[in-house]
Amino acid sequence: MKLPATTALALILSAGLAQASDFPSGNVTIIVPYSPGGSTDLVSRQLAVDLQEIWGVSVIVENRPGAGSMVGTTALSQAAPDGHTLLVNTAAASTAPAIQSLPFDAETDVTPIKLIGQSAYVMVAGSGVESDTMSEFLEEAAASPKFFATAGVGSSSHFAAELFLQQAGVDGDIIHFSGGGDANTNLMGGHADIYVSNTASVIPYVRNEQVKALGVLGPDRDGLLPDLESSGELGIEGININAWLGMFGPGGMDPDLVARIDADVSTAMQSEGFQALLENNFIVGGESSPEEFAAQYIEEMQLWRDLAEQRGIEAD
Amino acid sequence: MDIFANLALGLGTALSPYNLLYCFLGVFLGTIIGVIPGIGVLAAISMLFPITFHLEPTAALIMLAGIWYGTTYGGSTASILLNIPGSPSSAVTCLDGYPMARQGRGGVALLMTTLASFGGASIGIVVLTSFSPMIAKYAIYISSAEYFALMLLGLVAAATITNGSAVKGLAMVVLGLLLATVGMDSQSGAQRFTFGNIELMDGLSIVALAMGLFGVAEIVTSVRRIHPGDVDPKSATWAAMKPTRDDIRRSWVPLFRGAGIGSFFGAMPGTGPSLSAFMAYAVEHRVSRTPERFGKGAIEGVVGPESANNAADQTAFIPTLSLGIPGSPTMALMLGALMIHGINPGPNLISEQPGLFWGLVMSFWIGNLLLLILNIPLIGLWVRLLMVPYRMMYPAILMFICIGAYSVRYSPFDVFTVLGFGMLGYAMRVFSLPPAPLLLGFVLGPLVETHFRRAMIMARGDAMYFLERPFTATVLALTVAVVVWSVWAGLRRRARDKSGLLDQ
Amino acid sequence: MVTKRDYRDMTAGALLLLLGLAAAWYASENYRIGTITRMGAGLVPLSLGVMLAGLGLMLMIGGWFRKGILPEVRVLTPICVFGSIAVFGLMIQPFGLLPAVMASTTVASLAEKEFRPLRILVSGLLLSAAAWGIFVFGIGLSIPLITWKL
Repeated sequence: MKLPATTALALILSAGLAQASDFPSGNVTIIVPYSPGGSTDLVSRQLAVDLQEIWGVSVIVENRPGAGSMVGTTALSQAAPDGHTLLVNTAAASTAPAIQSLPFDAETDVTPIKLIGQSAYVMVAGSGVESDTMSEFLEEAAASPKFFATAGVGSSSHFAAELFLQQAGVDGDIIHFSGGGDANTNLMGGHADIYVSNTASVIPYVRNEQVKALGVLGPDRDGLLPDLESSGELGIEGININAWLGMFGPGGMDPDLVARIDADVSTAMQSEGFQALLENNFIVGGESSPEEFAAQYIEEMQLWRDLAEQRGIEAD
Repeated sequence: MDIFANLALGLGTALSPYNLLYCFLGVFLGTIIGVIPGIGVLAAISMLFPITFHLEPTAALIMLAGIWYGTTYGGSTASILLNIPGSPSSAVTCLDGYPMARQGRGGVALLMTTLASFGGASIGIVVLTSFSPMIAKYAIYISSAEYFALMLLGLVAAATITNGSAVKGLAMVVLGLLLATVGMDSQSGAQRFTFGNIELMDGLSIVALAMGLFGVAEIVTSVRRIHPGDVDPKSATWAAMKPTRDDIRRSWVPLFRGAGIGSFFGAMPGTGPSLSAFMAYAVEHRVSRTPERFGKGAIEGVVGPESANNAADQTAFIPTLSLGIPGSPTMALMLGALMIHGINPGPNLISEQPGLFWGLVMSFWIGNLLLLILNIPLIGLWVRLLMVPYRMMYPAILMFICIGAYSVRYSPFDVFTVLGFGMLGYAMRVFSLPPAPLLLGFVLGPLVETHFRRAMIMARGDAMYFLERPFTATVLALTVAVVVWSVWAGLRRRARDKSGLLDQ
Repeated sequence: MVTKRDYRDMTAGALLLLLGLAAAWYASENYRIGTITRMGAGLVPLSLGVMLAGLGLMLMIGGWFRKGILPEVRVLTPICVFGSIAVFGLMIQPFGLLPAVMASTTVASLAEKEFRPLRILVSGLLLSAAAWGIFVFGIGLSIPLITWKL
């Protein structure tokens, strides 16, 4: 959607004044592109509490769910790049643009600011799977094709599953559910078999022994989950991805402002509450610079675009 | 027995002054949020969520839960008095509640909904207390095929929810289903009928639809037609609140039926209070010996749904607390409140945190009692609203509708959506097309389509899959029976009309 | 007024027929239809559109063979009521709560077919106060009372 000329002009005028030195000059809104209550929402709300103390202004979490996080991201792309509108998203930020036609350019109309945390992609299995490890599962899946649950079409769990199917060379059907909770529930009931997602959305159910963790995606085992086999050690190559959580701003933000917010978020993440949240969800705090994060974002987006093309995934 | 020790523990927790205060705060806020159209329980709970960082987890959950079920109590008020659903789950209460109010029986309707709410909630709590683990265990075995069959049954019931022409009813169901396809397709990611508009990517809002179709259309028809003397001043007195013997006789079976329907749909992840209320209405209409009274102020059409949505409010906690599976975003927030305090919801919650679980359950009783005490005196106040001249009322109603719609996500687009549905609603009145089937189609549409498509993938293209599953096959057979029966009843009615005198 | 044919149902049927056909056409043009086992995004809207068109046609045919009553259609009232909502939607963001409520109340009041500026002013102010009290002060929504954003 194109902005009306007057609005665009107003945005440009106000954007000209956005400098790192006078930030924040008012309340800050963090858009969460998901319904309240999910893991992204909880992390953002904790972050908002800590940032509020640092900045001394109200930091408001605004949920804008829909279209696999792209409704909220579209709203972000249309906001003024003055740092007062931010967004927290998962790797869905890089997967959803691979299949959706969006009213903005995912490469230039958002500014990656901060990698908040990373975790492994964990493969969990439900009651319909007999295997207890990924190596056993590969044999089981070769004998009878399995159903791979996702948290929604275009979500990171969708693309992680597709990447696994492609690189491991196994057959399987993809079923889209509405969110991670729904996917896990269907695993428990045996309606779907496998769900590949970030730690935060599977670990609670693994802990309760409602689903079993088979392994992690990646060349090596995960430091926090050393008991789980990695896809790499089983000879599956070409899977070198991590699930992540990152903060974004609208496109065209002043680099000084980005650096300033990056530094403040890093400070906020040191709080006791935030550290506990990361630890509880097996997430490692992100250390990379805004430039490194931006590079990672662009690179992953290309990876998913190529995968979508190779496997014929398209929104039609 | 163990259960008494648990209940005593829970009662002790819930009755501590600190928890009692938050319980009261929750139900009080919930009632207000419910009465005000537009602003919903999810918005209210997300706004108050930051407070829970500073509260004890039990108190936080008691308060959030109080808002959740308190909203359902308040939601029926605006439906009955103004024909505007205060919350989506009370949209169906408009159908018979508003005619009752126009007949000067608003007080009775409000009192009966309050009692039905309390009754439904109580039954829901009993179910929650006694069968939680068992229901939770079975709920997860319900798969897309079963959901599809159930929703299809609901859809067929929806088509016959009104008394008028079956073709019109069916056409409105289909229109509702069509409107529900707007937004991103859940299975392919395609944007359907969004025309590049981001506001439509998440679909049309049910709040805007209900407010426009019922509230705005009602205003257009009523301005300059309702006069101060239309509602008997006596109907605003305490004495007029008293239900007749006939009201009570008609109400108690629907109350239990509604509670049963609500308990069932509430406990299933993915369905909830709104769906329960619609299903209860459809069932009451179907089993009634006098279906022609529905839509004209039938008390069963108010009691059944209100009992159902309140029962569903309570049983929605079953998957949430005993499996850690949130059935809706609101329930996800409740779990979030626990996780923030380092409590992991799941099958072990009840044994690991007995104080929290039983305290919460007992707080439901207390909260519902508080709601009863809070709401009955308020009825006297609400019915007085009917005495306010309509020329002063309707600009105020319009303002509430506008701000209510706008406030959901601060979007003028939502105000224009209400406008669009208001126009549609008025056009439908002119053409005498019934709005209720449209609303039902809209609610059920996405569920029917999504579950059918998932089930087809699970079946790997084998249509026999549906018939091989006993539960699905039974429900599908029932659906066919309802269709056959409706057609037969329709033909018989037509035959009778021809032989007898024309009704015009 | 009783008419020889049910023109009300015939018009309704015609409109539904057109709407159904439009939806079916748009869906088949823009979305993949697929098969019943591998459904595309377009199959459901296409079938619903066809069904709606069919039901509209049935309504038209039924109306042809029936006597009917012409419905009364209001003109001024819908214009004022719908206008009041539109005015609110247009004004709430650029001007804020007070101007939006005042303007929409004024437009809505015109449906009474009498213009009483003082009464409109008073009720507009009262409603704005109530709106601010309930939504901004009470619930804590962040809607500015008056603003100027163009």
